[in-house]
Amino acid sequence: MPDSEAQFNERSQRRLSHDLRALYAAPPVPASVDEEILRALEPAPARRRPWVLGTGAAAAAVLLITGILAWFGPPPTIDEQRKLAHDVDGNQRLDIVDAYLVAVAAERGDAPLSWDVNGDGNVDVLDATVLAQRVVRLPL
Amino acid sequence: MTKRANQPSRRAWQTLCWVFCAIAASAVWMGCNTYISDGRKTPQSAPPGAHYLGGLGLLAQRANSVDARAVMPAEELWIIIPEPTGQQRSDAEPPAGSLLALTSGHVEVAVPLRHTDVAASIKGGISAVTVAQSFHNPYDTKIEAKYVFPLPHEGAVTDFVMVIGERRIRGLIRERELAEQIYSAAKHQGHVAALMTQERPNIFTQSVANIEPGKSIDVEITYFHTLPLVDGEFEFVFPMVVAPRFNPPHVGGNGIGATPRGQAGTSGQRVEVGYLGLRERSGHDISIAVTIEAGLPVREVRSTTHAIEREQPDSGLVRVQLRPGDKIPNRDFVLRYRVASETVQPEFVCTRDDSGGYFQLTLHPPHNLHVVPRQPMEFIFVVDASGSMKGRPLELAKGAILRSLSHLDVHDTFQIIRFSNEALPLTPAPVPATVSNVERARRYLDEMSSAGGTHMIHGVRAALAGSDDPERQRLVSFMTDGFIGNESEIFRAVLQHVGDARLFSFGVGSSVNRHLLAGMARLGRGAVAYVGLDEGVANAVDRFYERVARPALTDIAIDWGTLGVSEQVGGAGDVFYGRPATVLGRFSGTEPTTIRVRGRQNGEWMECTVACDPTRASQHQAVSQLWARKRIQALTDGFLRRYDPADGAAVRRLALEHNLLSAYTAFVAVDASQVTAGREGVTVGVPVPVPAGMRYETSTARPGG
Amino acid sequence: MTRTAAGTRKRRSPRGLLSGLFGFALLAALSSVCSQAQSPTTPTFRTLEFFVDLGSVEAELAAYQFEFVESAQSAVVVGIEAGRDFPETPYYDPKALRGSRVIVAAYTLAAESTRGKCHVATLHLMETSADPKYQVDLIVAANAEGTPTTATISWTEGQ
Repeated sequence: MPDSEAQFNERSQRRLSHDLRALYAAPPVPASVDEEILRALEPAPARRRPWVLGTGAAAAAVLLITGILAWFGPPPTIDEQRKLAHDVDGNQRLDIVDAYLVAVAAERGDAPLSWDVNGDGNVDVLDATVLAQRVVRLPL
Repeated sequence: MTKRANQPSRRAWQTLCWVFCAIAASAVWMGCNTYISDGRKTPQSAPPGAHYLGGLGLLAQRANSVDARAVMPAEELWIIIPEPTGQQRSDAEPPAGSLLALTSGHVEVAVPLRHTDVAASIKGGISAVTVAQSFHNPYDTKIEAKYVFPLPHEGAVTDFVMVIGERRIRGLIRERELAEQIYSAAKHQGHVAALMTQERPNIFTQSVANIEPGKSIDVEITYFHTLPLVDGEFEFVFPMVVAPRFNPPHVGGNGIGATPRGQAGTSGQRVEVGYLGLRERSGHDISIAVTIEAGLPVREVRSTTHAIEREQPDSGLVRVQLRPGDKIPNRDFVLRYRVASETVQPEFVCTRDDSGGYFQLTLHPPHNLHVVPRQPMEFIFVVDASGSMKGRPLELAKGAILRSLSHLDVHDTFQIIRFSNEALPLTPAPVPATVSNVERARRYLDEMSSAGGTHMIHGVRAALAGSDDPERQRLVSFMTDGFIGNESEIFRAVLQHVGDARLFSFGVGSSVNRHLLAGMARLGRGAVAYVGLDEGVANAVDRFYERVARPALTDIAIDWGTLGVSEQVGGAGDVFYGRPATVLGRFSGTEPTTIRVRGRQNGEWMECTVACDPTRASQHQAVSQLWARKRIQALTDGFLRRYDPADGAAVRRLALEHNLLSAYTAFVAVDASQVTAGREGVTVGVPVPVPAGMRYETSTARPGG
Repeated sequence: MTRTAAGTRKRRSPRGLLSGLFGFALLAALSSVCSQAQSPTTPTFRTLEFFVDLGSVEAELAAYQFEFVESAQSAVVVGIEAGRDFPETPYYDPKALRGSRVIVAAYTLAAESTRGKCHVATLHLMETSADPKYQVDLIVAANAEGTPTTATISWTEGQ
């Protein structure tokens, strides 16, 4: 709870206690009564209902999933999956960095076969070239 | 009275003033538009005899038009002419400081093209070829180099880089008019620039502007090409020289002109090639390196035209290069090889980009394309007996016909038509292939000699004139080097007259016009074969009759399953034995499917199936550009029937979208970072040798064409 | 007749002078018009050099990709060249030619030599008017590990 809110509550309770004493000055009301009344005035905790909790969780999950989808876009089509098949750095975008990583791996000789962009059965600098040509392509 | 008498002279004076003003204004206006008019004037600093691009069409042509008319229109002109005078020489006259060396009895002529380096990489039947042309200025004045050179007619030229020292400037494809304007502006402003245009699908012009004395500029071109598979052999061809072409008088200036070196502008053609003299040689040489990666064992690698060195590090990898002593670029380089395979499978290669999928499917004739008794046929042999065929080419053509006659039986009929200035048939009508008629044909061939122009249109019309023989299928066989400049007219005539006949073309020579011969066969629903000067004709002729003996698979229809094919190119023709068909197209499908190919052989339907999974198929990035190139060819074929401006626009759009050189687009590169000193340079053509086996004196320079 | 002719010459002189002056004035006007007309139609060539700045001389540049736009439709790209600090010839989209928009990208396997502010590419342009509008956006710049790094792009007119 923020400090300002705590201070506000403290001030409210003191003022209420003062007002009650002034109202019932004689016979004096024992302090315990005040305390009882104040306790009664405290907000009662909500009744815990399991179905409300479930619905809330489900709604939150739906909101979360929707948010994620909205953030990352709709599920990729088959074409897009193929297009992103060589998204080597996994940032959901094809750019020159993917081509660079293919070239580096091809030079080291440890490129996975899934990076075979031109489908000739091996990963070499040609795959990086094909990928580089693809990433600079403007939409029609 | 005096006043009245003075009226006319005052008016004349005023008129004179106005005329003067108009002329002066015109002069000012023309001066203002020097850039726009492409500098069609001879700069005052021109060395004597120098030819400037600006005057390419006008001055030189007019100066020589008298000579042109002195030549009989139907004759070919010997291009050996007296040593040109200073007035006649219009280009390539090396200014002071250039070298002419004498080597082994030949005068070595300084030319602005020093070397051509060809590097080809073949994978899966598709070759990626990089051609590097090294231009050099051996003169002491700034030059513009112009080089007319050949490339394979179905090659898709896709990349263009200008190299200045260590700097590589990548050129861009533009609409041709715009590219020419950019190049012209850059040239006039002194920038180094390069322009590549297409004159025919197999003839190109490279222009390089503002090469300073002693400096070099390289141009690198990349093209892709699907290798034809002929009788089980892949064939890689790199053409090296444009042979002299005959341009019938009616083609105007749209042919390909041929001139002796130093006589630019005398052919009357917009595009022309200069040829080295008999004892002349240029320093221009060529190197070729080919790498074949087939994925399967490669065997029987051979060149029928050049001496080669070969290494094979493993069974599926072969490296070939020209032997050092065989570097004169005067004939086609032909390399053939086989790939070991138990069964010949249809091959599906594809690529995808943002605009969709593209595929290339090679359809092999069914192995059960059986031999059936051949029906009687009417064979029409058409022989090119023009001057360019003199010597070995004509002997090969005669040998091919004699060999063919030995395959005929008495149920067949035949005719022989020779053409040069006119078409002359052996007999008024086809005659049965009896012993006496064959003997008569033999004598006719023995007496046949070559002379005159290549008026091929007469041969086409005579050969395809209506047949009166309903019993026999007409087969027309053209034997020619195809050295003409009016290809479109021939294609149009074939389309108009071919009817039910089939046209087979035999290219004979070292540098034949493959664009013409393949086009005639394509439009005539036949096939093409080439016979080199060092090859025997027997094999080619025998294979031809093997094809004829097995009726073609006709009426081909393809069910593409769920592949979603559109804009299919090729495959509509017939499939001959030994000649697979290549189909290209676009597709949208993503699921495995079965392609069904149906065709009819001898009246019976045959069907074969091809399993196709586009997600697992081999990929080649060039398939989209190869498709675009074929599509352009199909659209251009359509122009022969009727020109539709919409189709022209489609060609332009296709070429631009696929970065393709075409008749409507051109590559241009400009070095805008620096301006060379002085005015624009002298235009110097690159003279080339006359093709091997062709006689220099019978080349086809025809001024005024 | 001679006298008359002489008299005519006398009378003509001012007219001739006027006509001559008029002619010169017309010529001058035409020249002016032509020179004015020529300036917007005569193209000029220039280069734009593009620099990617990683902000530190220690940082290595292994790959870059940027988009260049000329929005006034008054310039065309006539050549693309590698920069002095990035020797690899850039990739570009041929379709960029229809408009003046182009994506340029390249990578190098020798990133240790490309540090700090690098001249990565040069565009050769033909401008058809004096007022082209250029804009450039850096899409990505990455170091030798292939990790995108913070960088800026700038351009200057070539020397």
